[in-house]
Amino acid sequence: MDFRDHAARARLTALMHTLALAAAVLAGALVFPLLAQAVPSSGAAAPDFVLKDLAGRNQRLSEFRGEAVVLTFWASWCGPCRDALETVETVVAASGGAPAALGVSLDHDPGRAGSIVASLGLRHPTLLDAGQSVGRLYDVQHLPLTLLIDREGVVRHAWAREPVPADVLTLKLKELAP
Amino acid sequence: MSSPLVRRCWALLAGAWFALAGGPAFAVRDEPPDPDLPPPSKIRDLDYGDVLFHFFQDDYFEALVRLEVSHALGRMPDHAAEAELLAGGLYLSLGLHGEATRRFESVLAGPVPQSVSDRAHFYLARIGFQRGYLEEAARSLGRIRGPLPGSLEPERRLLAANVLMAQGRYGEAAQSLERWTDGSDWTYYARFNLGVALVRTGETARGRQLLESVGAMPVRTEEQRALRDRANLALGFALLQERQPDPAAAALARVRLDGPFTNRALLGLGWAEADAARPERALVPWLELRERPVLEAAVQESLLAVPYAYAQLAANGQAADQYRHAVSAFAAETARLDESIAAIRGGGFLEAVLAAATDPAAKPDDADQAGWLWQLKQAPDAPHTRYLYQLFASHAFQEGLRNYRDLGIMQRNLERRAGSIEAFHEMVAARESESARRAPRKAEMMAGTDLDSLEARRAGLEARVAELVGARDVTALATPEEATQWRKLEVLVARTAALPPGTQRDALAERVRLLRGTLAWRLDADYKLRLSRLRASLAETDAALAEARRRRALVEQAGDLAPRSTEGFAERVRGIERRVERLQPAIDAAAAAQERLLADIAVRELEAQKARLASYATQAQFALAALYDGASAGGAR
Amino acid sequence: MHPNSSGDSRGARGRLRRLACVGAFLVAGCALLTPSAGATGSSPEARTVDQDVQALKKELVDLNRDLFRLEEELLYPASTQVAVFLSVNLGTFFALDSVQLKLDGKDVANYLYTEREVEALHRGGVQKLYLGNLKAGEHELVAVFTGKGPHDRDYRRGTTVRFEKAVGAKYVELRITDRESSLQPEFAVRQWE
Repeated sequence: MDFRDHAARARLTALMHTLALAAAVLAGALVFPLLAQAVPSSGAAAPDFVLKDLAGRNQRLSEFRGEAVVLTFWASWCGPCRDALETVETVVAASGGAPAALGVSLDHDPGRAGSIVASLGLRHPTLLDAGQSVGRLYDVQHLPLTLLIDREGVVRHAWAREPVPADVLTLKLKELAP
Repeated sequence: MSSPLVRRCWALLAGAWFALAGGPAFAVRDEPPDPDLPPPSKIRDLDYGDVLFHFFQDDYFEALVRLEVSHALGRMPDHAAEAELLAGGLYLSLGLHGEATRRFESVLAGPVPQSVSDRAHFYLARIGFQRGYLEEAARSLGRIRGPLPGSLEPERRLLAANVLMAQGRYGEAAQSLERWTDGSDWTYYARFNLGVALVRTGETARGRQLLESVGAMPVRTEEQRALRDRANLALGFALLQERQPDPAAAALARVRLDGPFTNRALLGLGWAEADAARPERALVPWLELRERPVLEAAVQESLLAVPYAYAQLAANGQAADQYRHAVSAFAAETARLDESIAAIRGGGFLEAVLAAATDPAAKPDDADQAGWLWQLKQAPDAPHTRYLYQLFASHAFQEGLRNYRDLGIMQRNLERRAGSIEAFHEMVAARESESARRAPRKAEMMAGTDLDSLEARRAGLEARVAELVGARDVTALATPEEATQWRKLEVLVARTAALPPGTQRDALAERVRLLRGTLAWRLDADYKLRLSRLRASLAETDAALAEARRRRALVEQAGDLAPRSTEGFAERVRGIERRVERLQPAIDAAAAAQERLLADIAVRELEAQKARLASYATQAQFALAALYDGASAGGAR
Repeated sequence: MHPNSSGDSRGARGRLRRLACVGAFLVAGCALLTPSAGATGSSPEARTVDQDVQALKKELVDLNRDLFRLEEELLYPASTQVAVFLSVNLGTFFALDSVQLKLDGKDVANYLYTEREVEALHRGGVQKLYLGNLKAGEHELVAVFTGKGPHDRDYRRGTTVRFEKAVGAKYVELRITDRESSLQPEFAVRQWE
């Protein structure tokens, strides 16, 4: 092997490494602010909103006051979201149908949301936030985002990015005090 | 077959259980008012309609706050009486029966339509009954003139019957029931209460009839099923008391196998079979019962009943075994009770109770405690929640728990309000700085516009116009050129007059006269136009002046008021801040006091259960001793 | 086990029966001792705490009332206050979906109605749809409602209201009614000073 080729290749490799590193650093710089958790803090009141569900009915969050609510933000292009939705559906069904479960789909196309709901066999209402106004209201940065809201409309727990494990959700539900 | 002593024991036993199975079936919760409203088009005060908008969505606290605001601001003049009635009902739904009473009484103080006063009397009667003031309740009921709207009417009849029963006037209660034939759920409650009361006072036949009718009622809801079960249970024990085991068994067999009254029914069924001298059949329900959680009295008694049955069947070995088993079960349960009592005394009891009592799966506002509480009983044993079901049997505990929960809700509401005080300070500050900012501009503007002199000038102008019009001085409205022409003409006229008479002079005079005439004619023609224009601009000035005057007055007024009202606001915000600061620790103190009370109630209840277990254990020991005696006597032979 | 017909056994059984009877008596006695479910028996301390809780609740209601009032007076003083209310007066059920409001060309409200709210309106409730501030003078309110009527028919109706804001609080009531034509829902407007 020619020594010059080797050196050239080494330089090229080094350059590419540097570029990659720079890119990574840049990406990190861009991504890092997003990495910071930006969820409504536990203990804060869940902002009220109204959205249409898949059946065309308007649903307002504050009307669920008096029972606990598991609110899940999701989208059809988010894989882990399906797990989150299934977990929520199972846990809530096992606890006798209360607390209430609400899904908020951030899909631009309601048809996509509808087909996901159908394929997962979800029975809880799915609200459509095509304009992502509620997504912005809740500062949703990562999907899925599952919030546990107590009887008085206060956020008690939040799980972002990873689907909440079923046993954890069940436990937190039981722990809900007034 | 059985001696009078045994018969009497049965009666006592059955009677005791009957006492527990029976008990009044009063609705525990205060239902919110059901306003008999005029149709929507008759709502004349929009703010009252706003209150109703929230009320109809069951948002009672919000409705009440808005009601009180509108009341304070006098915004509901056309609905004063109804609003006061609604306020009473809302306070009642929040548990403030004292305030509610005051509202209902104030409704009655004024001239109100009968429909309104009837309802006020009804609510007062209900409060009176729940507080134990029977005479007042009866009096209030007596003042109701006409039928009440909707479901209030059957509720009124039930209340009237309950009051009579509470006063021991069973005959009249029965009569009122006979007249009541609408078949609503309320009649069944009334019949149940009366049936139980009649049995207690010895009129068993009539009591039985009533209980039978309730025991056969059609059911759709959980609440109805619970009532039917209770009726059959009470009927069964009443029949046991009368030594009629077969009908008793029939009644008890109608109780659901998976309801809150099942255990007692199973126990009763066993006794029915035992009383009919069929101890082997008595074992069936009793053995089933024995496998259930031992914290319930019926189950505890089954632990004794089973060996009793074996003894009846002369299976003494089995009987002895079972008595020993009972003793150890009672000891174990007593130990658990001791643990719980110690835990309660050690503190931290209430959170565990509340966590279980406010399980998301439970709907806490069910008037039917039997429903979800019973589900609670089936839940796996947690140290402090095992006895929750028993605790909830105590009315005092229920009320205390409700208070405690409400205090928590109040505390959180207060926190939210306290959090907004800062914003209020800012709002007031913003207003202050806003008006401070406008003050120099205002002062400037006020100084700049010397309205008085303006108006004086205008008035002067108008006077001049009037003068002009009066004098018809057309030259007054001439333009400067015209005025100059006129003056020149005047000079010409004078000079012409000064000329020596002659044709020259005449011709000149004629020409001047013509010129003057033309000018005069033109001035006259223009005069009207110019005068109207002048008048128009005067009118405009008039209007502008009036407007400026008005605005100035407003500005003056606002300027006067602003410092005062901002000061008023600041003081109001401070006042609210002080109240918040005072309320927060007060609520905490009340919560602590309530917690202590609840702990006391719980401990008392558990001690009572311990006492019962102790007596059962003693019984078992006696029975065991008797068995040994019998065995040794038999052996000795 | 075999039934023992010997005299001693009979005696034993008789004793047993008597003991069982005594036992039953004990049970009955104990059962009677336990507090019954209907008792309201409250101790003096319980009554005191109860009264305290009631008093505190009343104070809280008063506090909320005063804050509500203060907020309205600070943010929407009577001199500039304008309130738009929505009510419904219909012979047939109308599933109101939404109402949009424009004031002087500016979007000020876009409300979506839930089933619960629609029912509250039909029962006679009046919604305070919008609360705002306006200077004295002439203003224009444009309101549009959408919804589904009987036979699943979609409706969309609008109305324009020109009104004069004087020196006191101005109330405008938008009423969705089918009284006029009795065929379909329309807006009717009423103004109050």
